[in-house]
Amino acid sequence: MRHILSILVDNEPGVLARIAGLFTARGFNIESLCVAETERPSLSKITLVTSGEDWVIDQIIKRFENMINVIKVRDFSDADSIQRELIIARVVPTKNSRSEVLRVADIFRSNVVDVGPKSYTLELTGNKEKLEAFVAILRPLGLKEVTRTGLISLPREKKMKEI
Amino acid sequence: MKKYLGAELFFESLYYLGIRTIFGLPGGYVLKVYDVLPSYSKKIKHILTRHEQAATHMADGFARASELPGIVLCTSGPAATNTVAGITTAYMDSVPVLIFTGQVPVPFLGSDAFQEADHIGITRSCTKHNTLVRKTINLPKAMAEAYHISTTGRKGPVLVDMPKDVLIGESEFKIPEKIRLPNYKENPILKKKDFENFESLLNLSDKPLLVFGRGSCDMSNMKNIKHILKKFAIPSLTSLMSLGVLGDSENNFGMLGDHGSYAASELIRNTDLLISIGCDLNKILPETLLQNKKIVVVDIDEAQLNYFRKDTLNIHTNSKFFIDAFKDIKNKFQFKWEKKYLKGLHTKNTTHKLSVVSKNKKAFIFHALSLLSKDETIICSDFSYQDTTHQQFFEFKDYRNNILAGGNGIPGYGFPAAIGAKFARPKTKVVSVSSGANFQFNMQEMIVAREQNLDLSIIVVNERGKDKNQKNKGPDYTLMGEAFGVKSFKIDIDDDIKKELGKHLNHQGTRLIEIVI
Repeated sequence: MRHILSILVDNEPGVLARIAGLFTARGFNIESLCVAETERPSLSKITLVTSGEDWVIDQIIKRFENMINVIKVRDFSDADSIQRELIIARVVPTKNSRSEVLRVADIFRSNVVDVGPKSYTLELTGNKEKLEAFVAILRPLGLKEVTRTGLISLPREKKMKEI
Repeated sequence: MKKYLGAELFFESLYYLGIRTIFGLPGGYVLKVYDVLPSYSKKIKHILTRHEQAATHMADGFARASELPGIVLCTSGPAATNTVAGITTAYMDSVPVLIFTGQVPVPFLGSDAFQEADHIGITRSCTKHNTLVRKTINLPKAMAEAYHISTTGRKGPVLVDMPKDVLIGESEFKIPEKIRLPNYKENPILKKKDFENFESLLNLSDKPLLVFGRGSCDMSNMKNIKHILKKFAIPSLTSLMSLGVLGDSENNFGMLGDHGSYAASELIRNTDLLISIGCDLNKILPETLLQNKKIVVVDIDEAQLNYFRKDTLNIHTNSKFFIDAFKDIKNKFQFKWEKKYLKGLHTKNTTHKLSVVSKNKKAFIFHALSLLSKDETIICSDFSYQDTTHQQFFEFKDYRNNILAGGNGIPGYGFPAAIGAKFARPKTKVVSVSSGANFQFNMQEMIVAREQNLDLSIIVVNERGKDKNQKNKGPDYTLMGEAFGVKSFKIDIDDDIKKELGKHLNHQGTRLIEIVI
């Protein structure tokens, strides 16, 4: 099953390697990973997406909690949560498709963040499905390069009380 | 305030933390530490080993025999990588060991400098925690934290990496009196609800069975465990790692596991409530034996709970809290274990034991040692004896006397661990038992035993001694011992072992006894 783990850790060197090491040890793949400072500069939040059997993930979470640098671990997989990802896409359209690219950007409510004589660079936030649809439509129009942030997530207010 | 060199801070901090013995080997990046060692030699005893792996095993044996942390000091690169085997051994058995490694100066980190290795990366998965010190002023704090992490909660090895410029830098001596690690949960408390659930399970049970694992082994628990066994008269078992924790109680039915006692298998088959305290049942018992019965698991490490198996009740707490609460239960239980049946089990245990001892030569050696050791004796044994668990034929009265590398099963552990144990408890008799093949892994440490003039008996069982084919024949360990300057004797297994061993066990100085089988 797909799991979204949100891990609050000390903002120190080596912590991410420690977290990733537990996945390597079990031969699990990390599908997406996002690390950044939180509202407190001494802490970082790691949002990590992985797939695996529930009991193994459960054990990995307990191991995280044993680590000295880990403060809190939350599993959002079945909680009602907001999930977002950001994508930056560079498109080099043919002469005929230049306006089509802008129309697609408009439909998806994507912003043009950079423009040159040859290319457009578009930015879009959304959930996984939306970004995948965006990429699929841009591909025949001359999509050259894509960078995604990886998933970030927070629980909704109602659920937050329970967690 | 007085300024100290980093190397001096190292010893000041060790002394402040109450450490008096360290095991180590000098090398390039820790030379400053060895430079200042003479001025601390009255405060701290340094034992020069001949291999870093042996140094970690010695520290490990020291920690197991004394329940104080064992300390290792060595240089970077090859020295640090040599310690990995020993660190893993300590990690698998939750033994408090502190490893201090030298490292290249901070600006050179990651530049493939001479004797450089990424100690933090290499030991990440075999230590409870590890840390790199970047500034001299932080060294005492890092050491105090390492000590705290290593010796509390589920104990384990902690590595502190000390770059050379940290050791030659100058700073004041500032060490925190109280360690503040906000995220570190060292002692999970016993939840009231959990214990009430346990009480009601025990109330409903007809035939409960207790298993005390290594996690229950603590000097403060010994008395309470005795009390529990006497008060509730519940049959109890130990694991290989916790032999001796039950003492000579009449409710002690021996060791559980593949090669365990006869009674253990019987009791596990017949019980309806298995209560495991600090014991990893997954490693010891096949799943089929654990079906159709209620199981209560008490463990300090949450990651050990509900692993592979859904148990009836999981209690995440320190065994100390659980045993304390258990002792004070006021209910009187009516269990349905028949007295006659239990008595019969004890008899069967004895006959089973004697039949194994009469057939198995290695088991016989442990049995003979047990009969010969009237005083307290620490037995340090090696891998080839633990896969078939001959240790159970020695009657341990204290779990600290049973020293073996359980989880890691590393060959060559017994002998260096015995040296460490001797330093921990100099007045107690120490015997190491190894097979010849295992002994060869760390036999260079005979020099240390001789130099320090330790009263130590090294028993080497030469399994290849009688092989007729000259090619297959093992080395002559008696000659080997003599070459190292250790008094050595050869015994044949067909001789009167008890008499011959008895002659050699009570002596002064180091002695190697080769038993040819």
